[in-house]
Amino acid sequence: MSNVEFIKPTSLQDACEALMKPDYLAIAGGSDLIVKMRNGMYPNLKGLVDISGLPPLNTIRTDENAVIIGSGCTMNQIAKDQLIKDYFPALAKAASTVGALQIRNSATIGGNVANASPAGDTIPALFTLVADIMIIGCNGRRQIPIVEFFLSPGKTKLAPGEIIEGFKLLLRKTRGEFLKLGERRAHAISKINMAVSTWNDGKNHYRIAMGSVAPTVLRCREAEEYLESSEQLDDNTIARAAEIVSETAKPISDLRSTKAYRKQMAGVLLKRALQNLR
Amino acid sequence: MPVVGKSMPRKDALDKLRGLSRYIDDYNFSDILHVTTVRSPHAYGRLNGVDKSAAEKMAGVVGVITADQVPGKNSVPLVFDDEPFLAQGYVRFHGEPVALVVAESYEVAQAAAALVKLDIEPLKPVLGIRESIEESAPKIYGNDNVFSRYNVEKGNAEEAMKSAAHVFEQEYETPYQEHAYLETNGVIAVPGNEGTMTVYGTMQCPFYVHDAVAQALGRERNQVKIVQTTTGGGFGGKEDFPSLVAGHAAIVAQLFNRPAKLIYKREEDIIASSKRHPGLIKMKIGTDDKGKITAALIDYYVDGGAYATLTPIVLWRGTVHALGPYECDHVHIKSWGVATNKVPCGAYRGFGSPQVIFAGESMMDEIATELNIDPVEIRRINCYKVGSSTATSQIIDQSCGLMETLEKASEKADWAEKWQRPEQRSGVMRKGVGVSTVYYGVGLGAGGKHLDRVGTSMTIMKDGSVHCAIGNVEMGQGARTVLAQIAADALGAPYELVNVVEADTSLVPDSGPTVASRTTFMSGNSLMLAAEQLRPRLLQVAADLLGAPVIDEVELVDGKAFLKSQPEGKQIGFRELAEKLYAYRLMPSAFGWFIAPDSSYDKETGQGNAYFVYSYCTNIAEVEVDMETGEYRVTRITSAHDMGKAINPQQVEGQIEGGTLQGMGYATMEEIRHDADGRMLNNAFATYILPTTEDTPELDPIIVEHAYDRGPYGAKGFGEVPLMGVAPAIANAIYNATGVRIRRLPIKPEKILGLDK
Repeated sequence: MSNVEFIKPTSLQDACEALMKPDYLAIAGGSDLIVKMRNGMYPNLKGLVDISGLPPLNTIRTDENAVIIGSGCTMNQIAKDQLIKDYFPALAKAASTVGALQIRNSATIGGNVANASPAGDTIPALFTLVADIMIIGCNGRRQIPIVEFFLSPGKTKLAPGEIIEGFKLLLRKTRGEFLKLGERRAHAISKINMAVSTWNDGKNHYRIAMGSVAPTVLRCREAEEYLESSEQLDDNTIARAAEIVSETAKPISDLRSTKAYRKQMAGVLLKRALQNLR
Repeated sequence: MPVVGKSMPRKDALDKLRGLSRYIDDYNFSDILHVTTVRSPHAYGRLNGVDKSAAEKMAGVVGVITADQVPGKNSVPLVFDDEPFLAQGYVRFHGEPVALVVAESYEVAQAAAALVKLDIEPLKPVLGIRESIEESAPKIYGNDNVFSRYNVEKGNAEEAMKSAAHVFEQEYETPYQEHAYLETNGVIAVPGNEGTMTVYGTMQCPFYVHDAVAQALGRERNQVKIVQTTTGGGFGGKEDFPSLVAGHAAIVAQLFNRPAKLIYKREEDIIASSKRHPGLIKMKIGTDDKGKITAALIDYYVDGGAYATLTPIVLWRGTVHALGPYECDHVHIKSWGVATNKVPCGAYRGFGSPQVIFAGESMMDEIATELNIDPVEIRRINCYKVGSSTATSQIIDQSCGLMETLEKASEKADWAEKWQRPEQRSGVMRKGVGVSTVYYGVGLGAGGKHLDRVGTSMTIMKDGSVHCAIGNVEMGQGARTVLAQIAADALGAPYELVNVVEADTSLVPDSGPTVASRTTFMSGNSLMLAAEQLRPRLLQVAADLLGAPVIDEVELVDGKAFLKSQPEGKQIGFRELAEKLYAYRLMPSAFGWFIAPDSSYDKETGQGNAYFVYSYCTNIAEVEVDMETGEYRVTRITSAHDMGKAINPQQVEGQIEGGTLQGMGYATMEEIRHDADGRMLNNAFATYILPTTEDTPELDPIIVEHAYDRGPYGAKGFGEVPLMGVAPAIANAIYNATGVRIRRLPIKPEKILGLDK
């Protein structure tokens, strides 16, 4: 580890160029990466490119009818931001449950997404908010809808030399909920997490996504469609939607929990989220 | 008693608060070598060889040490001496030390360790209690995989069971528990002149380390010195294990004649160091119609892991305590400590008791439920009082505050208001309340009585300050503070002038281990014996200065001497007394040597006075359970403890609060997992889940004082007790809330909902 080169670029372009080299990784808050390095998961690591503090990455700003959340925004920054709380409550709530206070002060939303853990807490929230991932590389910028971004645990569509610049969300007021179950009340990796966002543009829209129930975060289209086609959100409707997500969940048993528990909890969490949104 | 019974500030508090305390990793010596350990990746296998060549070629590597290079005997001295310092011939658990890589820097040592190639032919491991005791199991220890077994037989339980009005039979299981002390294991060994060796490090039992280093090096005890450094927690985890770590560093220091530093990473500390034994307890209890226990048959198994280490002693304590603090004329307890291919288990706060207490206290709750008796009431019916006879037919002759703890805790927790049957509760969020009662034999007891003595060297310095070297250690439990209070009052010295220093084997003879809640009682008594010798000399000086003809007319309290007849008259300060003591050339030092009160034990029947005195406690846990997710919150734990005398009430409350939280972790979330090949899966704090402050319930400690006439100022010992009965109190509260009985710890939401498979 002592032979790792540490690069502190002053521009996004420099950062991208540095990341073109094989076995160089971007680091921001480091709350996942440092732990993985210490656990020997990057035996060939040659360099770290510190993108924390690069100015364009650290702000939450509006751009015409969109909100752009810089990838370097910390969890606490997001959880406390008035615009996010008012417009994207699912995301504010998700960010406020990550790790513990100290971790939320350093962990970034870009890191949470790029780390691509199936248990990453902000990912389901971003799914439900139909976020586009803004990517910058040596050859320019591109955008990918978040639902298409993840390939498998820890694997994404980011190419060498690319970093996440931010997340683009439509400036549209949503109501939302984020619920998670962990092994304790803080510092807990989710056994299962669930985000629900809903908005009305003349008709009701629902977006539902859950984590830790499949190799990547799962969007629950069937339940969304069922809710959108339902007349009202009564107890029967909620119960049926809960059944549907429970079917959608494809969890495994691991150190944190069991397949059976996760499947059943998918339904319980959706029920609770919908009850809270009623 | 100017300071005994008062919450004096801790001697070590300010330095710790300011970050000034030096722990072992803060120490350095010139020319120091760094050591890292190469460990077995297999749970069981034949060790055919170690290829050191690649590692030895790396720049900065000084050498790679294997079993054949151990200068002395390659075995850690303890009970059976069956554990090697470095594996030889076989590896017997995942994480077992095989080789030591020695380098000029820590980083090089780490990198080179990866290049050491172990030639191991894997064998099929034995991985659990049930598997180990099967007839057909491969034999990994002796001819039956049993390290040790005990039999406690009082009356005729088998016969009495036949005539019992009600018979209850259940099995309970308990998991590993990792100590998770803040400071990992670590030592520095420094070679000196004429073949001497000094080892500094974090530890609980410097005299065990003394034995181990002398044996590893083949040196005399007077060539080896062990100095305990400020220790960041032990909880039993630094009872036997530092012997191995110190042995490794000392072997390296001797072979290269240079200081050697060996500090564990958290992951290797968890994978390699001792844990609480997993337990399997089969209980069959007979009662009369009123809930009085009439017969008890208990089988108790613990998973000792790959080497015996402390298993025989851990098992003995658990065996003796297996029925709990309940009168019964017909008891038969059998126990087995079995071998498996997993990390050797050892001491952890409670020492073989929390396992049987979980079983026994859950069983009491089950009996109460079946017989429709309030769980507090069934304990009133059965609990020990003065005059009761234990499972080993010992008569409790004094200092038994159990009933008072039961009454005080249930009153404070408002038990009568809160307790109702589970079927009367409804809704998604359900509250529940549960109780447990515990007794605990203080000290090493009849099983370890040959070690149960302790020395103190006390010196009044020229300036009046008092230096006390003791045979027990401070490991965060507050020993230096509590013992300074005892010494100050026994001597008549002001508390500020008394200092009790960290243990050093060159200052005091072998005083046994710092375990078994024995320090306040044992070292406290030896300090009193030393003070008893010094006090007449101080009084003599005071009598001269006050013009009293005999010392009987003089009093010395809190650093002030005066005539008994004139308490408001002339006073001589402690510093002046010391000055005169030296001027008169009186001996300013004394040695206290205290031998524990007697205990006894019959090998065949297990009958006798197992421990010289017992401490007692009642825990009442309150929970709130979410019936849809199975998640629950422990909202409050009320614990009343009889420790004889609270020398320092704040320290006592601190012990209750800390121990209760550890007990809550044991009950609710802590668990070590292995894969099918016996590899430990969660040797990190990301995956070994401990409670955080967010999980902490309201804690309500209550002090009950039933003095013990042999204790210093009436004190017994109780440091372990706060952990011991918390798990069943919570399990009983969960039952009370939900109607679901959990017989296998930890109590996970998945189990409450029946979704744990």
